[in-house]
Amino acid sequence: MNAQAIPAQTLNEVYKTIAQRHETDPAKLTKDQIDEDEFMAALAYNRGFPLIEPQDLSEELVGMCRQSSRELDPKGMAEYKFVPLTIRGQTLLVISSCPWDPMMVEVISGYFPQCSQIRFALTSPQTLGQLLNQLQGEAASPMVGYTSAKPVAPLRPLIQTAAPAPAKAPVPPPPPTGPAPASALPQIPAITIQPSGAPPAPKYVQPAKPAEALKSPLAIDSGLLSQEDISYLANLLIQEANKLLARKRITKP
Amino acid sequence: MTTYERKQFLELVQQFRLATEANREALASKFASITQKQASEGEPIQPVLGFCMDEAGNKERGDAMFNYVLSRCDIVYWPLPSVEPSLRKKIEVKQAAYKHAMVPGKVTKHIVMLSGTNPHDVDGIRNLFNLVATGEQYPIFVLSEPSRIMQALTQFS
Repeated sequence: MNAQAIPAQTLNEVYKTIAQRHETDPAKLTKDQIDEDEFMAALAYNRGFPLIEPQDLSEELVGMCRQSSRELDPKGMAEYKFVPLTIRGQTLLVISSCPWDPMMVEVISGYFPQCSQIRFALTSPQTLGQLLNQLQGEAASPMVGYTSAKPVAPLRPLIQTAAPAPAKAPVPPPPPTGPAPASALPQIPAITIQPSGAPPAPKYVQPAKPAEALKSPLAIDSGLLSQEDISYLANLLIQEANKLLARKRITKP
Repeated sequence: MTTYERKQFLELVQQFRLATEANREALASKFASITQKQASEGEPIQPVLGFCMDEAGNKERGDAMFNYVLSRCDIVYWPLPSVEPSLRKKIEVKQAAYKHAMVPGKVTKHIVMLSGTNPHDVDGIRNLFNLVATGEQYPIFVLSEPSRIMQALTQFS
């Protein structure tokens, strides 16, 4: 069961909800026998999210997703398991199979800084895969769900291991937040720190997990921070510097 | 005007200064006369939010009202309300949907998804859910623009 990807508290609440429906005790629930549809429905109910199932992937819905995600790389969306559906006022509606993931929320916030609220429609990993395939105009490929017996490898690689990371999906950097067009402002180019002979690092890499990874500054030798992590941090700094420059340019008398 | 309608009406009137203290009741009675006429003619009843958006004077202010409602509640916005095809010929469902300006958008073995415009309308959710639920489905309520809801309601035959 791949339900391990779901936070324990949420998972317990979902099982409680299902147990209530079956008029049984959560402890007596045979978790392996809960089908994917029921699990997703209980999860959606529990979180108050609309549920997107394969039959809901209408042309209209896919068209709205295509419109909202035209600036984003489908591989990046697959990595973070989301597809933006629409914006209403300052609210962004996002289809996701893991709406509890704070990193995904952070990534989305970076791309849609004008949206102060992010709301989710829940979908299963399989349906999200179908949607992403439809956005790319490809045939659907099978993906494993939360209640499938087969374990599934995480789409997003975990924290850097000793082996050099394969090139990850490039996600274009978030648009500048200031009113002036980016081209009109001096830009500090993004830097890439890489060991000699290493493959070129992608534009956007998995951010380092902050709490443990940053115990010692740039602890490269111990394998806690990879070259890509350092590139990411450096690029983050450059982005902030660009924003600052933009602000200074705008406020200059 | 029901309790939940009144709650939304007063909230919007106050927030967007649609009326003064003196003519607020006149605005309420205008809404009442519109909805009574719609009910007598068997048309969908215009939701309070839609009425207030019409009274806002311009589209931007009307949109701001909807966005205000959206930002004030935890209910998720849904841009594609549509009546579940299997329910489009059911008279009793149509009547309840017209009365509450609420769309039964999705009915599956495990879920009933309703789209409406008034987050306070617990009665409407309960009534419509009881009509369309065939078992122990989970109810999910989402928020849509009044214009989209009214458009979706025309799918009833």
